[in-house]
Amino acid sequence: MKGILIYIGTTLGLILFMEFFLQITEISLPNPIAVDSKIGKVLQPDSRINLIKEGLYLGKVNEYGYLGPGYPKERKANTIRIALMGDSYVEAYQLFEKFNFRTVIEDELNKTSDKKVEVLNFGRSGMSFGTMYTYYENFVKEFSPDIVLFIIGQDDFVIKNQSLFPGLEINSEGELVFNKKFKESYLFKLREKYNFIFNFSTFDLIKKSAKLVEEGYAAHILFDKLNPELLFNTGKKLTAEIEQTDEGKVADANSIAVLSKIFSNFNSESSTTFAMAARGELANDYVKLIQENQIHYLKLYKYVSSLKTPDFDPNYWKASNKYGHWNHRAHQLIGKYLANYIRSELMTD
Amino acid sequence: MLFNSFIFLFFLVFILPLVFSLKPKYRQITLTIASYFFYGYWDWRFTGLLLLSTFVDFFIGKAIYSESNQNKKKYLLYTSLLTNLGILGFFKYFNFFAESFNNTLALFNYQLDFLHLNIILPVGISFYTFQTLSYTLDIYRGELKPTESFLNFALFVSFFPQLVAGPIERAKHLLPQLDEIKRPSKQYIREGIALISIGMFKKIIIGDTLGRIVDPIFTEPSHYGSIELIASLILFSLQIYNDFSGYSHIARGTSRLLGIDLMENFNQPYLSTNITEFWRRWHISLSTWLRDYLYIPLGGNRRGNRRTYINLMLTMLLGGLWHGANWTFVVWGGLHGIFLAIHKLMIGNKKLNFENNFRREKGSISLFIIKLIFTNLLVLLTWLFFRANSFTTAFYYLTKMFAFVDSSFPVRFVLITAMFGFLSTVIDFMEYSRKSHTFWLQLTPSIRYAFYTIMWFYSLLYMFQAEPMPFIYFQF
Repeated sequence: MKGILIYIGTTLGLILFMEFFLQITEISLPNPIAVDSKIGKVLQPDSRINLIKEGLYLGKVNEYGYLGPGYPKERKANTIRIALMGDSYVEAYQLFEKFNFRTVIEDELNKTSDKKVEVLNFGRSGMSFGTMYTYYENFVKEFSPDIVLFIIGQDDFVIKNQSLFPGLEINSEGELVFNKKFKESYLFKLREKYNFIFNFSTFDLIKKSAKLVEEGYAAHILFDKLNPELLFNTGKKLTAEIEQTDEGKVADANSIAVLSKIFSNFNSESSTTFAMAARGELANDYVKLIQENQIHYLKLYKYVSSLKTPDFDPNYWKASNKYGHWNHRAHQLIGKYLANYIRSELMTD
Repeated sequence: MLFNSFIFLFFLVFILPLVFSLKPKYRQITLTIASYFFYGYWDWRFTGLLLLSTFVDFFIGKAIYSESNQNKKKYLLYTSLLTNLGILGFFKYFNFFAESFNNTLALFNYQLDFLHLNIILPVGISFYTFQTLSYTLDIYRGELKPTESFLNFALFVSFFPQLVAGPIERAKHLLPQLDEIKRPSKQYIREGIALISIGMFKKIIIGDTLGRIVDPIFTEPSHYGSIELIASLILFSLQIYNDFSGYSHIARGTSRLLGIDLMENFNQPYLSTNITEFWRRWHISLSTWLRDYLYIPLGGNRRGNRRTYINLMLTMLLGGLWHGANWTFVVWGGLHGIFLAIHKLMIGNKKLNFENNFRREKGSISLFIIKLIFTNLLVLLTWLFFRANSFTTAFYYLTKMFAFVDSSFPVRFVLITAMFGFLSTVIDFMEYSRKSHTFWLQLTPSIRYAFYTIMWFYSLLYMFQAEPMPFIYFQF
């Protein structure tokens, strides 16, 4: 009995030590996500973030709950505020903050503007455009941006409910409304009550592993080349081999209807300028919709693809030998390009 | 097959009961097949090279032994050296020397596009080449009788726990053990489990996690400030140590479970108080190989001081080149050679004390610590050249480290470095003070099992959700 108690006590002590070790060494940091009944998933202010995949990222959520330098909700006079919205490309968890295009845009614009320019990064990975819109209405708007620049890809425009975020729907009166069913979900309630569990690095490691199992990678991780699914050509393929879905290549009717309402709402906000910078070619219906609502539209993908040379690929990461998000040099060039675009097209008023 | 992968654990769980469920006479062949499977799992085509090396040295070894004519013995030895070093030279150094030749011609304004081949370096080639060479050289020197059994020799060359990254075993030690594979004793099983547990933890939780931080910084140091670069260099020194000593622990532990003893490869090198001691504790199987088959045949310290320094330098330069086909490795070896020569000059013929004792420096712990820090600073400087891909990167890195360039996260990097350093040092301290890599066995069972539970839990958890990183020394 004494032996068992010593075993349990030592094990618990070691778990505590390992938790401390994981957090200090940043092998696995506590999940920076919390839930809010209005916004959905939010970034916990002042939490540390790191990610080592394509590149090395170390960062911090600012005291206001977004990335980059913390600018408060109240905007000072004589400043221009630009909100950047988008998915992982804007979030840029691949390189240090000082190298990402947000910083480049801010630095470039401040060189030439009489007013102080503040660029705020509201990028969140995995966010679709519908969710970006709810995020904008429920959170970003409070920071009173003069310009909102969305950096979006084709798939982002598919309107779907995302876990732990408000959904969007058109009610019987034809109005665009938020669907707050997410608050009823088991996950939301769990997060709301027991979010402290998610603050343990050990739990985060378990969660990441569970996610891999859920996504069907267990057999590959465990059996590697001898994975029966691979040997017998059944089951899910590896990440790199997953075929692209057709989702988003064609504009669907529901998405068009919701997007039409969103753009029309943007159009009615006279104090804010909205712009869409496309990371990839968009379906004609989407482009038409954007332009019909007099929203600025930039074919960013054309510029990005023009950067590609035999010696340089904007998506190639030398350190990890992986292709993925924009690399350091691409961020620098894209930042300058976007700064020019904002200066010439969006800051004219 | 990587030790830090689930497939290796499954392989082990399958092989161990299989080998010992068979009659002793079938164990050798089973282990040899298993070893070839282990090696071929990475790329089956290179098992042919392994087999070639085995054939050549088995038959040449026998021929040298039975030959009485000294000249013929010599020619047979040259054939073995030429074959083994030829294969190693082609796969590992062909492009390196071709490129160096091109660059030299370019200095004299000659342009010659010397042949560049797309050669894949077979994993562990430097290790098994040195191991088979030691067999032939020992027979030539009359220190070893060749084995009569081809299978025994084939297993000696391919024995999977130490095939791809050592320890580089000597035939005298390993061959007799492989001749008759006995069931491991309970003590061996306990030691095996202890060594694998700590080895996995060191490799996965310290080595791999550090590699993920260090790699991007060394690849593009221009993106980082001085503190980040200094931290990264220290982290690399911890990475390479935990990666390689973790690997060696797993290799020795796995062998123990097969009833076989492999030599120690590391003995807390970062607790050395001088560079000579460092080389007694770092990659012991390579340093003793170089001593026995290069330094001593060159004359060692028997031909006066000047010749001793030259021999030291030559040994270390070649030792550096053994690591990789890049001049940065030669410089790494050269720096160690210089430090060793200077130390030799300082101590003269004084006999050094290398025992594990913090109070051995005339009873003073502070003197021990001062010497330890100084030695580690020297070693750290050499790691820069070892890790950098080129001289340009190494010098850029070195300059920027001391240029006080602003860092984005100085506190976080200092904390990361301190914490990894702390854990690595605690493990080393325990091994050093208890004079054993299996000091866990000296703990009460409840505490020991709690340590095992936690080490395995976190190692497996991390291994599951992160791509396994190959051992650094696999490339050598």
